[in-house]
Amino acid sequence: MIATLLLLSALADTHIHGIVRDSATRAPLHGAVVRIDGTLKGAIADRYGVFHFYDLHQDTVRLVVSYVGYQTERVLVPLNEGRREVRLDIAMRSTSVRGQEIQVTDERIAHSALPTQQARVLTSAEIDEHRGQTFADALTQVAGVTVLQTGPSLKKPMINGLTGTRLVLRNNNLVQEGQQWGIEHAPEIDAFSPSRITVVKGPAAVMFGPNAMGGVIDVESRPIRKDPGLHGEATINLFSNGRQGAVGAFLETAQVAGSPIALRAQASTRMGGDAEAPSYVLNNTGVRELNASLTMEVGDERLGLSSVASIFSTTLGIFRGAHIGNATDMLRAIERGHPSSTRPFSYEIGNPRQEISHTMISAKGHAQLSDDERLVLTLGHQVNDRSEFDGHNVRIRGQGADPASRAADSLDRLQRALATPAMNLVLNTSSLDASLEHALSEHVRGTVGISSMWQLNERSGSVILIPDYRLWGIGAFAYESIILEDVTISAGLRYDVRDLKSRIINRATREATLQDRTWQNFSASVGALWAPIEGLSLTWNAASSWRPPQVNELYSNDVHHGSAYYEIGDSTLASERTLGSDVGLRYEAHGLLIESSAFINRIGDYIMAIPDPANPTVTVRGTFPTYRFTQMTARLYGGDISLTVPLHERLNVYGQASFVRGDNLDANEPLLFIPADRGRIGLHLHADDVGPVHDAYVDLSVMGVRRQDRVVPGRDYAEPPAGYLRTDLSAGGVVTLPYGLPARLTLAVTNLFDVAYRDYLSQYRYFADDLGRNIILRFTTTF
Amino acid sequence: MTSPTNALRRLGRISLMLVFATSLSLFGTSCDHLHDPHDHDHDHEAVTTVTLTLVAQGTTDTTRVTWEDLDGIGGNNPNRIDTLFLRPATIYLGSVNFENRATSPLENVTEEVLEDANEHQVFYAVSNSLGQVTVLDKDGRGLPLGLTFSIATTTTAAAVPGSLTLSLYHYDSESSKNGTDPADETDVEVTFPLILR
Repeated sequence: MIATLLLLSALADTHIHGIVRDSATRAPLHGAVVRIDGTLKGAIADRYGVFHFYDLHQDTVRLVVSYVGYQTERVLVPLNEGRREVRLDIAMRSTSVRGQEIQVTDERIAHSALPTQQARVLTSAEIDEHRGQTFADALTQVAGVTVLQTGPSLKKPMINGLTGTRLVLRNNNLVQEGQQWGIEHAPEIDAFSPSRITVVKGPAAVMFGPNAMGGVIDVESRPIRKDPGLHGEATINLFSNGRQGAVGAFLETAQVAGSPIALRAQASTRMGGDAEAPSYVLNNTGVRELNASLTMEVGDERLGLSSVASIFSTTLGIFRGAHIGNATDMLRAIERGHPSSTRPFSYEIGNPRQEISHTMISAKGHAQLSDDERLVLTLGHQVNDRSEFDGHNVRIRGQGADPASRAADSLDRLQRALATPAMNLVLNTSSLDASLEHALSEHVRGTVGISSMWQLNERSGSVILIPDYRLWGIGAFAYESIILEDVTISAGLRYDVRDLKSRIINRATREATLQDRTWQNFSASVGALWAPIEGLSLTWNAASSWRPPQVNELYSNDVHHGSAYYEIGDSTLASERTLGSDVGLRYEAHGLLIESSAFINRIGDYIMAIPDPANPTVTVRGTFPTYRFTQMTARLYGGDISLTVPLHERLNVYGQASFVRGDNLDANEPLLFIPADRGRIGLHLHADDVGPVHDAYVDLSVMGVRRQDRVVPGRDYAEPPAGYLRTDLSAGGVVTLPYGLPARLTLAVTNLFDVAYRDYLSQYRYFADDLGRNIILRFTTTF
Repeated sequence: MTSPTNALRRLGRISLMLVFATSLSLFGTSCDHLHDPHDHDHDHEAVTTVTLTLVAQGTTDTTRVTWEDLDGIGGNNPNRIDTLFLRPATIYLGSVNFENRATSPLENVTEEVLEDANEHQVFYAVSNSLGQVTVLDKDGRGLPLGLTFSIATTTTAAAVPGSLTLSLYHYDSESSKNGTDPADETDVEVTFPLILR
């Protein structure tokens, strides 16, 4: 064992930190697991090999450091006699012998994916470092994940070219049920709450039901710290672009008034004004957010209950220049190339805007029935309340006998009209999931379960994009993994039933009719993982799953503002059926990390709105192109690679590239809204101490995005925008505040050179450039 | 390895769990009533009907054409779009009337445009060079309004039909109206087929 202890001056609070390195090359070991022996505490070394522990109350702790391909190290750290800060430099020796078995219990392995699947876990350090204005910003560091945006504060994640209702987003153990069918519907998640995000690339329907055909994003908040006393964290984020500020904090204790109940209260708020492109202000793109949550945990590993209640509420301005009347306005805006009138910066949010609140409560109980059986029950209820306010038709005329009363009445009516949403949707969802995790033998582990949900959507307002509906679903599943010495094989099967009853309003007659539809089908998956030599693993998966048509695809019947087309659903649509396969490779040794994957996915009866040029929709506001939801055979394929290469013990170079191709095989033409090819290359310099800053780092990266050239000419209003390069810079480290409080400070600059660019996946690329330079200051202190 | 009795017990436990979950979800589905339709009461005013009245200069020869979509945006396409028949080499004086006939009593939106003349403008466009439109009225700041206009048709009767498109814009404020540029959002845009004969 080669472990050196470097002792620093005594500080008020205990803080153990250090770097895990390869003993021969001195390269940092990204992903090494550091545990405190005899406790549940653990940390994972970040990209620079760094880990931290705060607030340790033992006299002596024993750290167990493990990493695939290395001998496990044990380090004894005495903490008595006022020794408050300890820095460790842990060198790990690589093993020449093959590991005993693949470490399925490793913390880096996702709980929300089969062990053979392509999954990437973002740890809290990675989330912190990339935390942006929206939840989706942190996800874009995963190769193959892009965002579909309708403005700087409205971003939807996309995995391998699939988004919206083809992905499942899980938040605190529940499938988040919001309105996810629209391009302007961002996930209702507090950017401060996640401490761990798992991105599963590829079908996960066997675990999470039909909508997970494209993948899963699983957001987990950290478990409550089990050591005694009151703890907490406070974070401040400041963004120069949009002059945005966000503050979040939580307080937690493992023992409320001496009882075994652990509690955490968390709150965050955000306020931002108009965002700025390099040469103009994007009017009405401000944001307000107020979020809070309460987490309760009781019990232990054998029998326990955890419950989360949370509320997310936001008001989002929709970029004024992107809200247009009809196709003529759209073409005029594109021809002009920039917003017609820009007002100076303002924090004010006018119409058009969205007001959304998402309230959820979940209770998850677990019971260890025996050594090899664990029962988990999850009960949840969510209310998603979304109001969308139009900018149209605010020409209001007062009624009254004389001009004064007419003026008063018209003002009154105007206020009422502005406060009345064009569309209000209240979605109530209850769910119950039960699963039994079991070990059938020493080598076979798996889960069987049932999940059920019930949902009611109530609509009001003049816009009819989706109807009132009631949906229930029930599914039963089983998946098992056979874990052998260097091979793991997984297989799963699921059956789901969905029943949708909708009240459809005929726009011409104003009469409502009820329609009831039921779908049911199987999902199946099989996969294998093979680790032929130390540090190398190869995976293969194949899956077939289905997705019933969504309510907007069946019954949509209105104009989409911002895209100026009239969208009509088809109530006779059938379910989609996907058949896909992926392969992956992961190699890590001596600080070098290579991850690569490729996928192909054929979707039968793929549902998409395509133009119907023979039947334009003629309205008093002009003529709109008509889009009808239809079904076709689609094929998506693509691949990605990411690698980290240690150049020096303090310097890493990393890179990432991905591509996706999507085609409508029936018409032999490319699909709409497939991300353009992209890549990123970066340099990361890490130093132990720079003056009072320890674990200091500087990171410089350049992202390049090609022009999307796979489009149907003339189909879109505008040609895809040119490719672009965006440079981001960040630097940070940990400083010690008075009273010994450790504080992590990061200063980041995105779009360093203030380049004017437009992204193909942005809905406002027709009207304006993307965000200009943004200087971000992040500050986090833990106590 | 698991013994047969253990496996049986496990099976029993799983089925118990399934029954429990199913009953709960069925309880959920039993209260699946859909509410009555919501009242679509709102003050947003829509135009259903656009009427043009044209009088050939120096005569009492009146042409009236109507564009109407009573069920509003979506639903059925417009129930009425009249063709405008005009004589060549003639000057017509015209006026436009916007109404909402879906409400009772019907609303005259023209009056409202007139009241807020400084924030409105109607634009006209004639295709295939069949004529030239001149706006005759002005708002309070001397900028064109467009509720009254004249059309001078071309001298020869053209074999090809054309169209007359009129667009009504409501500006965010007086300052964004300059008399030549349309607003970002169109309020009304209707097209009448036009034939000279």
